[in-house]
Order: sequence, then C-alpha cells, then structure tokens
Amino acid sequence: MRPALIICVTAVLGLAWSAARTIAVEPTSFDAALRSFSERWSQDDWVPKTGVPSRFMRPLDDDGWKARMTAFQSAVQFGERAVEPVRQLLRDEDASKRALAAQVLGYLPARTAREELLRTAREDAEPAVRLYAIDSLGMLGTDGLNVDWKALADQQKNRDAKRHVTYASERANNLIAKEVIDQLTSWNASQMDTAQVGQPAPDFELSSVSGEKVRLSNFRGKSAVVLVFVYGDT
Amino acid sequence: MRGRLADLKQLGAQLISVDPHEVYSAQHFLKEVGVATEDLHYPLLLDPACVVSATYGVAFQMRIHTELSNRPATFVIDADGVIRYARRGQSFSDRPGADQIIEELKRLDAK
Repeated sequence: MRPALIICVTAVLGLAWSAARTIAVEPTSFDAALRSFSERWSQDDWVPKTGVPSRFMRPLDDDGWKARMTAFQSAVQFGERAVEPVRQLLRDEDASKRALAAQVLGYLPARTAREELLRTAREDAEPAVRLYAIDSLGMLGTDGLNVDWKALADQQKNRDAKRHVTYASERANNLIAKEVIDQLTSWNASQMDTAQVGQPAPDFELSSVSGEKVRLSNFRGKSAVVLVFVYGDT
Repeated sequence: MRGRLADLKQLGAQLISVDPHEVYSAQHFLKEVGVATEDLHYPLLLDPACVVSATYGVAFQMRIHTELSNRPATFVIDADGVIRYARRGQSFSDRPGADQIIEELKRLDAK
C-alpha cells in the first residue's frame, strides 16, 4: 500500500473509533447514573433502620440522594439527547423515576416533551409526579400549547399541586434562567457532601430572592456566617 | 432565627439562608406569607440547581409540600471560613434554636 493510502485508512479508522467511543461512552454515563439511582434510591429507605423513624425523611446515613443528584446532573449535562429517554421515563412503573423525569425535563431543552408533561400533570397517580410535571411546564413555557389552567387546577386534589398550577400559569413565559442550568452542568460532582466540621466551608455563589449575588467566601476575614438550609419556610 | 438578627449582628455574624426553589416560586411564597423581600434583612439565596444543598449534604432528603426537598440544616462558619458547627435535621422541625446558635457563636469568640 502506498503511504498516502495507509494514512488515509488510519485516519478513517481513527475517526470511526472516536465516533464509536463518543456514542458508546456518553449514553452509558447517563444510563449508569439512572441505574445507580434505581439501585440506591429505594422507597423503603424512607423508613430508617435506626434513628428517628419518619416517612418524610431519609436516614442521615442514606446515600440514595447522591445517586439522585448524579442522575439529575448527568441528564441535564446530556442536554437535548436526554429529552427522549427522560420523556419515556414519565411512563415508568416506578413513581420515583417518574418524579425524577418530571423534574429533570424542566431543566432540559424539552419543548417536545411538553404534551407528555401535560398528560402527566393531569393523569399521573402520584401527586409529586404531577407537581413536578406542572413545575416543568412552567419552566419550559406553554406558548403554542393548549393548556386549560383552570381545569388543570380543578383536577388537582393535592393542595400543593394545585398551588403549583398557579405558579406555572402566572409565570407565563418567564422561563427557567440559563444561570440555573449552567450552575447544574458546571457543578463539580466531587464537591458532593464535602461540608465537614473542622474543614473549610465549600464556597459557592448564589443569587438571592431580590436578585443580589452572594458569595460565601466574601465574608471570610469579616464575619462568621450562620448558614441555614430552608425549604420555602424561610 | 429571624427574630434574633440583632443578637447575631452584635456577635458580628451574618445569617444566610438557602432555599431550593426558583426565584419565581420563592417570590410567590413570600407574597403568600406576607413578607416583603426588603423586610427579610438577610439574604435568602436560591438554589434550584440543588448544587449547594448537594455540596452541603442535604439535597433530596425530605418530603415536604409534596416536593422532594433538602433536609433542614444549620452550619456555623467562623470568620476564617471554617465550619465549626453542623446540624443536619432528622425531622421538619429538627433545628437548633436561636439560643443554641448564639451559644455556638459565642464559643467562636471565646477561642
């Protein structure tokens, strides 16, 4: 064979190899994250083996939430290519996967999944799945989609889901901020669960409800900080 | 804690809260409970990407208001940026009281 031909064949093989790798490696990371979520996020884990029993609180030593965070982030990092597989998850028999899918779609370029989200918001048996589907519709915007908000609200027996219909309908086309998606895709997952007594507090910057940006490390050398995680109860 | 902001200020400490909602629903909520954002007097930070709550080990661990939310948690960070106290709650209301936080802050000062 002539050298030029050899180089050419090698180049083609190299391209094919890297293309095959791209296809093989990327879906696996998302699939693996989802599989890990299914394995490590058991419904039973809401009832701990020791400690304070609660149907509403995962035990302190549970790590299923990490698998959920990983699945959440990798789906959003996967972007457009995650839309179809995540949309299909809305029909999964496992309610915790449907809830994850309904939540994740709001962070994806998922306009094509809006009809299915609307169906989910109306029909899903699980209130949390409906609530997240409603949120995601609000995050994606409902232009061009025929949504009867009043009927959707009337269908919600769950008080919280009903309230979220109000949020979603009033925000109109005030879509999810790109900043939020960037925070999620650029987050370094090795930071997960790294806040320990005696160690430097992991730094972060977030926007406040009044739009001001606050960076934790800006208080260093100036004042102590009491950092409180709340959930809509301020 | 909100009622004790003056005590915190006297101790030279800053209160920061982190909520896992988007600005849109957070504003709605404040309106519902009748609190104007300018009356908060401390930053209510929003973490809808859940990256800060995951970093601090509290994301997706509590079911409340039909949502999957972070568990309640409180961290005291000294002026050198080191975590000196951490409490991750085991129920909705499992939080240190304001008095306990103030004790922790005084302990920082004593060192």
